[in-house]
Formats: sequence, C-alpha cells, structure tokens
Amino acid sequence: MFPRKPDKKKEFSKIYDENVTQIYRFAFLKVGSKDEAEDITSQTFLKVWKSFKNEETKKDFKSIRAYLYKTARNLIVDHYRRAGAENKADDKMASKKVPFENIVLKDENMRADEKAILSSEIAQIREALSKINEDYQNIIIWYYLDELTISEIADLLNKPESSVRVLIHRSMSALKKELNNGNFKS
Amino acid sequence: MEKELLEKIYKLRKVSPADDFVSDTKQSILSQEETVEKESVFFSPAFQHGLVMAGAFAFLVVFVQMALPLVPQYEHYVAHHPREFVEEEGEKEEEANRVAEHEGGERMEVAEKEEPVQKEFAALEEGLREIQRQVFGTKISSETGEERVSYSDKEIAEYLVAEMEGEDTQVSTMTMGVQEETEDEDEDKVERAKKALEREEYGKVFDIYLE
Repeated sequence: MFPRKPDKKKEFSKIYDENVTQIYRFAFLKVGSKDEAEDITSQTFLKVWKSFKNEETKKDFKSIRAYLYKTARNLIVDHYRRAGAENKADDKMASKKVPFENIVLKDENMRADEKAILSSEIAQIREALSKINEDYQNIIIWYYLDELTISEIADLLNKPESSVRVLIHRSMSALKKELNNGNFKS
Repeated sequence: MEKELLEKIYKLRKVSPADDFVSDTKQSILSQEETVEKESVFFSPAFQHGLVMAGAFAFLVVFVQMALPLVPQYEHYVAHHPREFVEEEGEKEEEANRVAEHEGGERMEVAEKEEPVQKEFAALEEGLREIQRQVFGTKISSETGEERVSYSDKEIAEYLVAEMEGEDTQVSTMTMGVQEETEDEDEDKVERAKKALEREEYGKVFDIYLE
C-alpha cells in the first residue's frame, strides 16, 4: 500500500557524491565565504532531493546537474538580497578578497607554503572573477571548471546554444582583461 | 595567454568542501527525508482512508458482538412471556406464536399451564354475568317495556335495590327461589345493598339480593 523507494535514496546518494564538490565550489566562488557556501550547498541538495523524490517534478528534470546549478544560483540570489537588506554598504561583499584560511583545498598532501601560495592565487582569480558580468562568471565556472555541456548552459541561462558559444568567448576575454587590469600576477 | 588563463582557472578546481561537511550534509538530508517520508505515510489520503475504514470495521465488529447476545434473550422473552409480548407488540401475536411453535411448542405448553385456572374463573364469571343479564335483563325489560336484550351491571343492581325496597314490582315471584324475609331483615339488606350500589359494587348488590 505504501511502497518504499530505496532506489531513490541510492540514486540521490550518487548524485550528491558526483556534484557536491562542484556545487560547493560554485557557491564559494560566488559568495566568497566557506560557511555561507556550505549553507547554500546543503540547502541546494535538500531542495533538489525534495523535488527529485516527487515523480511529477522529477519528470521536469532535463539534466540533474543543470537543476542543481539553477537551484544553487537562486539561493545565491536570495543570499545577496538578504545581505543587501541587512547592510546596504556591503552590497559588494562577493567581490571582497577571500581570506586564505577560508579556502578549503582538495589536495591535503601539499606543504603549508604551497597551500598558502595556491590559496593566494585562488583568492586573486576569484576576486577578478567576481568583478566581471554575472553571466560571464557563471559561464567560466560551468564551462571551464565544471565542464557542463553547451546544451546544459543554454538551459541554465535560458538562451540558445549559439548565444552561449559567443558568451563563452566573451567571458574569457572579460576575465583576461580583469586579471590584466587588476595586476593579478601568478 | 589563453593557456595561462586556463591554467589559472583550473587552479580554482582545488577548491573543495570539507570532508566532514560532505558526509554530515548527506546524512542530514537523508535523515530528514526519512522523517518526511514517515509523515507523508501517516498523513497521506490513502492512509487516512484506510484508518477510517478500519475504524468503521472495528465499530461494526463491536456492535455485532454486543447485539448478538440480545437475540437469544429476545427469543427467550417471546417464548416465556407470550401474553406480555402480545400486549406490547399487538399485531405481532401471530408471529410470536409461530416462533413459539418453532421452539417446540414451548410457549403453548407454558401458556396452557399458567392459564387454565384463570380461564376457568373468567368463564364462570362471565357465565354468571350472562345469567344475571339474561334473568334480570328480562325482568327489567318486562318492567320498563324496553326490548333490550341485556343490561349493564349498574342497571341490574339499581333494579335489585329498588325491588328490595319493596317498590311495586311484579317480579317478586320470579326471584329464582328466593324466599320472602321479614321486614327488619329486608330493611337491613336494603341498606347494605344501597351502600354497595353507592360504592358501585354491583356484584355485592347481587349477592345481597340472593341472601
């Protein structure tokens, strides 16, 4: 009468394992805070899981990855709205320089000085990234870092694939320009 | 420059969530899901419908269990109290008789055991009254000239009292063998008969008349 669905849990567990790092990274690069990125990541997966377990809403999933990023992006927008309402002067918080200790790195075998250098570089790139157009930010993260397909990005941005290809090119130019203007040297 | 830029971008891939966060979040979401699933089971329309049906079935079972013992009691009542039952149920008398007969004639046997004496008395009483009516009715009829077949006890009693008072009646010789008494005795009888008449004890008036 009440069939349980253990398969869905397994399926969700797999989706979580495959995407949690990317979603956290996307959130971290956008908000620049470890705690807030963790909060957004957990909320994203919770929301997606609630939709995922419902057969009706699950049918709407063209790509689970695209759905995850879409949810995370909405939560990031909400985050900025709340921050803006609390402190108008802090609107540009995303573009602030991230403290090194706030960056969690994947490779734990690195020496401390190597970790510090890498964290510094990451903070610089993130700062440059945060200063360009938001669509460009997203495209660089999705296309170059997380390797989403052009089709998935087109779905996320609600734009034709041809436009996405143009945006990819423009986003790289914008980031290059920002890195050069901001004296970001590796 | 393009390659250098890409290398910088790829360095961002080193950003990773903490391991404890990854495992704790996963566990948290799954445990929340279990709670939601349990709630959804308890509050689902299917579960609530099932609950209502189970409740109705339980009520039916309890009702039947309570009502079943009453059936033999009812049948027992019908079998052992046919008269009361008939009085209460009126038009169901035939049905009661049928039930009683079905019980092996028990009802009829019991009724026959209880009723003979009463029936005998009732028959005697009725017979006596009928004689009274016929005898004294005829007397009254011949006296008054009316042609009624029978008269009420009261009319008979009044007639008897009047006769005992020595009024001018022509039926003194027709008093079924009652002999004439002395005047004192008659006066005493008349007084007692009058009192009995006042108290509407018409049978007693008749008894006094027969003394």
